[in-house]
Amino acid sequence: MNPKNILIIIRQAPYSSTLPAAALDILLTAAAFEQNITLLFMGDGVLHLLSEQNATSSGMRNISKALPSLELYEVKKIFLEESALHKRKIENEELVMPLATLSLPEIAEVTEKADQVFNF
Amino acid sequence: MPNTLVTEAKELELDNYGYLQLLSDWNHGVAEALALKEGISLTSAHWELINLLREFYQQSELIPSTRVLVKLIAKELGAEKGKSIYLMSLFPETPLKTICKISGLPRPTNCV
Amino acid sequence: MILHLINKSPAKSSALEDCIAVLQAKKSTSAMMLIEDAVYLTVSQAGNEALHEKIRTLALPCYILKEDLTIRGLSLDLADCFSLVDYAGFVQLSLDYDKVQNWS
Repeated sequence: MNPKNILIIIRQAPYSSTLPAAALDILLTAAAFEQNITLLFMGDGVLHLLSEQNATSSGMRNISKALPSLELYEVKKIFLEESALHKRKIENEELVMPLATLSLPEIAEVTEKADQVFNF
Repeated sequence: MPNTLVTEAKELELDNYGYLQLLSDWNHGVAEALALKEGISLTSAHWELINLLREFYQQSELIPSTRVLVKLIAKELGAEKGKSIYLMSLFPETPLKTICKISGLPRPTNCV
Repeated sequence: MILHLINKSPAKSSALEDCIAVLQAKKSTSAMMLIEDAVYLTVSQAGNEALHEKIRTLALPCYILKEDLTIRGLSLDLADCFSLVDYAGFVQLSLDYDKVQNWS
């Protein structure tokens, strides 16, 4: 079976729902099945990338902690929406790791190329 | 500071699978005891992997699959040790489940 | 050719606006399908009408699930940027398009 192009988009802010954590679970499962995965943070989703999060008291998952390890899962295509940081006055230095950006036309393109899109 | 001596005579709760109920109960002595229950006497080779796994879990909050753990070992400890056979030789039968148990991590629930 | 599925009210979620932003960015033959609370977009009010205009400019089909208007007591007399479909039509659309993408 050929691997599928799977695009996972996280647009929701952290800690308001369990959807972003579900997105990470889908990603890890798809990675275990050696699918071709792209992870994209759009809109409020970029708030997951802030390095100064401390989720200990919330009992919820801090997705940012998993990101630097995803390379071991062969997930190497992790992007964020180009304008999302600027709109929220977030600097690159505040992020848990540097990520490549995609413009809206590029996002439209990866969306079209994906066999399956999971949009949270 | 009062002059005290703490000894290891404490009953720790395990779940149905033999994993620590409270992960914060874990320490080196607990690891030794958990290992003995699995018939393993911990050597420095075991500890090298346990420390690596614990560090990975603390940083990422992820429980790796066997394959990812082997890759992590290869990356951090070299290709010689980064083989499933090496992991199997130290933690026989169900290596991932056993090393997670001894390392005081949650039980791996994924099948892969 | 993607059918973009939206089920949240535009007043409460960025789903519709995020979707429109992506559709504006690159020419395509995609379409939008609005169900559940997303059908509140059809109500004529200031905030919605700005979005109606954006959809007109996109010139892509924007389908509204009839049953979800009916249960909410909303008018079936829709602005010209929308097309009404029933459940059978919704199923047909999901077959006609290559992919369905949900914007939760």
